[in-house]
Amino acid sequence: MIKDRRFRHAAAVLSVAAVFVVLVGCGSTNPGSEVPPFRQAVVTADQQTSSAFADVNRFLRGQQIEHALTQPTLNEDLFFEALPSEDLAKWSRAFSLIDSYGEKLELLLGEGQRSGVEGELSVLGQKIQEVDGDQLPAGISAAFTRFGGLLVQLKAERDAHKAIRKADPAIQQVFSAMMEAIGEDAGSGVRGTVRVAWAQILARISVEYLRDSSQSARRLVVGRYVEALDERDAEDRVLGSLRLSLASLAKAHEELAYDRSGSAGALLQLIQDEYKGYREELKAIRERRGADSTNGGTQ
Amino acid sequence: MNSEIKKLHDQLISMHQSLARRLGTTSDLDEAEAILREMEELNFRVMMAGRLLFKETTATIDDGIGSIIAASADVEKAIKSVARVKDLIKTVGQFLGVVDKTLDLIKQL
Repeated sequence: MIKDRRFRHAAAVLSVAAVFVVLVGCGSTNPGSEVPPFRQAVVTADQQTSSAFADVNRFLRGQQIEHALTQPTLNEDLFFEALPSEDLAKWSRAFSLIDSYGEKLELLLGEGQRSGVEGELSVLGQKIQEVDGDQLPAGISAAFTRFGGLLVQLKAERDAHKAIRKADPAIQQVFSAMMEAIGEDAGSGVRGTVRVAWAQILARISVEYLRDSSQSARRLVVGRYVEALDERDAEDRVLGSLRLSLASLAKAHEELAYDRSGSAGALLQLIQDEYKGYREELKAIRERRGADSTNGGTQ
Repeated sequence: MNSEIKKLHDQLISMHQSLARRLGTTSDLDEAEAILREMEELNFRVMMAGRLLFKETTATIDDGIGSIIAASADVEKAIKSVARVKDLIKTVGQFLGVVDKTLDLIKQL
């Protein structure tokens, strides 16, 4: 009789718990599955940014050399890192911190947290039975174990959402500043600086065109001019794509914070693949030209 | 961001573009070389202003880092809180083991 009452009580508690779990579960999407691709995209963006900026620094150093050649004297003021290493280190640190934050989220939302608690609850259930001596109805102990695990999972998800929402304004600020630094179009930020350097290369070729009067010499000059145009555009596409990657990362995090189902994640993968394509294109142009990229190709 | 450095960078870029347009229309070599020299100096200054602008924008990135570290610490706390739940359940289990042994002893009395 007592056992029967205990069984009914336990069953009622479990029914209420099941409804609670379903209700809470319906209220939000599980960010657990979206955190690993986000982290992967952050790591990729870090690598892509580092290599793109190293390229920009090499290219602009080449332009400083060209400028130095026009000067009456040579001194070290003529040379500087266009994108200073200490600032590039700050970018890298920001990416690392975002990844480390993602890693913790992944740990919190991982299966291990839930199964750890379920394991302990299962041991506790056995102990209770040993002490009591009176057997619980079949299945109740296992059901309580699972329920305990679910509660832990729900708490972990709630805590994770809270942290993601707290981090979101700062994450948006960081990615937005990075996008702004790269430049929203070819005329601003790093893209603007690079575009002007390319305009300078084109201007040098235009003057060479005026210096050469023969048709054959001019033909070669025109060929170099067109190659320079292609390389300029390819380089800008790389930087533009990098900017778009950062915009998608910001969007993906916003979706995590506000439970919106993710379109940004898939888009991010597409953009990062597109970036690789643009890098390949730029590499192919440079190989075709067979010149050292440090002078921007064409002097 | 609409800083003075950004305005300067924009202005220098715009001046360089104007000179490039003028160069594209002259067929006089002397004039072209003079424009090219001006452009060379402007290009150098665009790089300098660009460097400062990059530093300025990167400082904004650094400002956001503090909040990300704080959110990260919250996640760490949440992980520890789950670990505490596990420890608590384990401790109760251990306590029950002791109770069990005590009950056995009492039964032998």
